[in-house]
Formats: sequence, C-alpha cells, structure tokens
Amino acid sequence: MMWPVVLYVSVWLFRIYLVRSALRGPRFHGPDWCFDCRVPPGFYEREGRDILRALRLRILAPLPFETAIGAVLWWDGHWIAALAVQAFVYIAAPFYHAAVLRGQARRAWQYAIFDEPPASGVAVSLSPRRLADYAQPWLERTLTGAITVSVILLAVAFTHPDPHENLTTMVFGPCVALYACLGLALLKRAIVSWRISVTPAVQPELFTEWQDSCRRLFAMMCDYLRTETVSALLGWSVLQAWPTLWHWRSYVMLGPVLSVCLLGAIPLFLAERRLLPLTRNLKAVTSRWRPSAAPPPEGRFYLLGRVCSEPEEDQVLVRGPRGMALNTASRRTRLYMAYLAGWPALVVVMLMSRV
Amino acid sequence: MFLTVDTNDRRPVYQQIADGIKALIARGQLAEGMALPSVRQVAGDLGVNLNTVAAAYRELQDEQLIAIKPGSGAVVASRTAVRKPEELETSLRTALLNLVLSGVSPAHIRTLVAQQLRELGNPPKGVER
Repeated sequence: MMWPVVLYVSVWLFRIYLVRSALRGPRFHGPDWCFDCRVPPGFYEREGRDILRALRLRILAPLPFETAIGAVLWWDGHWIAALAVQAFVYIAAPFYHAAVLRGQARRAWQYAIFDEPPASGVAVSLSPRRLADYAQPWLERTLTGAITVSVILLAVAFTHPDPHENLTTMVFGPCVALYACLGLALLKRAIVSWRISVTPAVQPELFTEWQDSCRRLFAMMCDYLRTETVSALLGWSVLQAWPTLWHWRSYVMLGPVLSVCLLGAIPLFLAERRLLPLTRNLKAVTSRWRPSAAPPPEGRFYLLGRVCSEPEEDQVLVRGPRGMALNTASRRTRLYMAYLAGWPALVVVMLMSRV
Repeated sequence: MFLTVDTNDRRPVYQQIADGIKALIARGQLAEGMALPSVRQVAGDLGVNLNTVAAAYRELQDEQLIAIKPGSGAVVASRTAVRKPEELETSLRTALLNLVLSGVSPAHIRTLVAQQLRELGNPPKGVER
C-alpha cells in the first residue's frame, strides 16, 4: 500500500511546482516587468496589485477543493479514485494555468511602457507546420503495437469470459482508455495548428523559436498522457486475459503506469527547463511590441459575448466583445464539441448496459 | 523565412501577403518546388480571414508563381511571373509618376531603383524581356 501514497505525493509535488511557476509568471522578467511588458515603477503597489490578487485567486482557488476531495476519498478507502482525481487535475492544470496567465497578461498590456514607439507589424513564418514534424515514429509504432496487443488480449478474454467477471466492467475501461487516446490525439493536432500568440515583426526568429518550443512541450505532454493511458490499457488487458494474475493486479496494472509516469516526466521537465532561456530572450522582443487591441468585427451576433458563428474564420476562438469567443462555424469546433458530447454518451451506454 | 504584415500599411492585407511572398521568390529565398504553408495556417497565424489569404494565393497562382494542389498545399512553381508587358509598363509608369509628383529628382529616382534592385539581390533569369 506504499506505492499509491508515493504516487499521490509525487503528483502533488508536481502540482505545487506548477502552481509556484504560475505565480512567478508576472515578475519572471524582473521587478519592472509584468509578464511580457515593461511597467512603470511602483506598478505592483497600484494596478499590478489587482493583477497579482486575481492571479493568486484563480491559481490557488482549486487547491482546497482538490485537497478536500482527496482527503475524503482516502479516508473512505477509495485510493484509486483519489489518484484518478489528482491525475485529472495534474493533466488539466497546465492548460488551466496557461489560460489564466494569458488573461492576466492581456490586462497587464494596458499599462505597458516603451522606450521607443512599438512596432506595428506582425510576422508569419512561411514554414509549413505538420503533425508529423511533432511526432516521434518509434513512439507512434510502440503505442499502435500496444493498442493492437491489448485489443487481441481483450478479444481472447471476451471469448472465454470468467463467470465471476462483469462483461461491462471488462469492456468499459478499455473503451474509456481508447476514447481518451482519441481525445489526446485531437488535442495534439490542435496544439500543432495553434499559433500560441501573434508573432511580432520585431525579431520574429526569436519569437517563432519560443512558440515552436512551447508547441513541442505541449505536444510532448499529449504523448506522455497517451503513453500513460495505453500502458493502463495494456495492464488491464493482461489482467483480463490471465485472471490468475489478479492477485498481483497492483504490479501488473499500475507498475507500467507508475514507471511511465515517473520516467516520462524527466524529458518533460528537461524540455520545460530548456524553454526558460528562450522565454527570457523574449524581453528583447516584447519591449518593442504591443499586441493589437482592435475591437471585434461589427455586425456579428454573439451569444452571451462568448459564442459566435463566423464561417469566414477558421479559428476555434475568435475575437469577441469579452475577449475570445467560440466560433461554432469552424469545422474543428464542431469536431471538438462532438468529441466532448461522446463522453456523457459513453457513460450513459455503460449505465444502460449495467441495467 | 518570414512574411510581415504592417497594420499601418495602406495596402490591403491580401496585397501585403502577395507582395511579401513575391519579394521572397524574387530574392530566391523561396526556391522553386518549396512548399508554402496552407491557407488555414497563414490565416490562423496572422489572425485574419481565410478569404484574405486565399485571395493572395489566388493572385500568386494567376501569375503562375505558385501552384496549388488540392489536398497537398501550395508550392512555388516558378521565379518568373506571367504578366503582360503592357501591364508591367503601366505599373512602372504609375510608380515613377508618383515619385515625380512627390518632387523626387530623376537622379534620386535612379538611386532608389538601383537600391531596390540591389535589395532583390540575385534576380531570376528571364526577367529582362
């Protein structure tokens, strides 16, 4: 029973590291800076205080809930559920932090000061971006092989079911794992096509290198999570095919998951450390650039200021009256919505099959 | 290799994109057969309408500078644009007229033309018609 505690504590340590990094975001470049813009002296005693307060509130607010849910689940003996909740938070946290930091950085730009007039141009790289450039063939082959083996083992188990085993339980877990893999593949595709931020015409090479490194880091995170999911699927399939191994289920099921979790975190951590000097270099770019604060196009209908339908724009998120708005006319938005709708459908199918 | 769009430039965005790609082709930075990003990628990265980028690519395709293959994207087809000689003369005359009307001396115009040609570096063969 020692290893779940070790895993839980490890995930918490990573979580605290992420929280600490996010809270350091505003003053990352120094005391005269707020995110990527230079601010007047005494900024953090005036307007900056609100930005810091809002950032702390948004970043720290989920922590008491996570702690309470985790404590209740551990107390009740549901340690797998506690690990699952913490794993979900661990996956969602970087994306949530990125959104919060971006929102507060946008606020900070209103108070930016410049030594010289900021550049007005934006640049775009003419190098095509393809999903294949962000994929590792050996990893893709390994994952495909592991999924194939899992499906074969499950098929074998399904044809000779254990009379004590619930068929729904046997099939539902793998279905969830495969559907999660599909979602992560979609997410990776979205990350590759994501521009991250408009590239200023000042030293675009520097900015593009940083954007590409961010994109690679997020793509690596998706690969990491896919590997975790597939290793869990493989462990589950082995258990279903050889029920005699059920006694050692902790080792068979969670051994590979734990190994991937800890070993896979090392390249991720190194990639994040490599990103730091690039982020520091951005000072030279952002001190001479101000993002466009152009209002959204007129004549467009917004639902609650956050949803619109603009067929001529392909982006999932477009400029709206309250920041970014979801563009339902985009083919990709519809695909993501259909995918998300699949999750409750999957749960309903499982519940109905139990009845 | 970068394409720059200036919000203070009076030219429409599609024209800036087309002109930027033409300049890169003329300088030899975009060689024949090189792939260009998709219309979706450029529109997404610049945060502009799909039609804006599509119009720029269409202009380049009409001048046979790029070839668009459905499904596989756009590639640089040639370093010489297909345009009528009268059309080229008209463009040159309009540019010279604007310079003269702005009070620029003929000597300075020659210097400017020479400078622009120098910036283009190695002009492709077949430009002198």
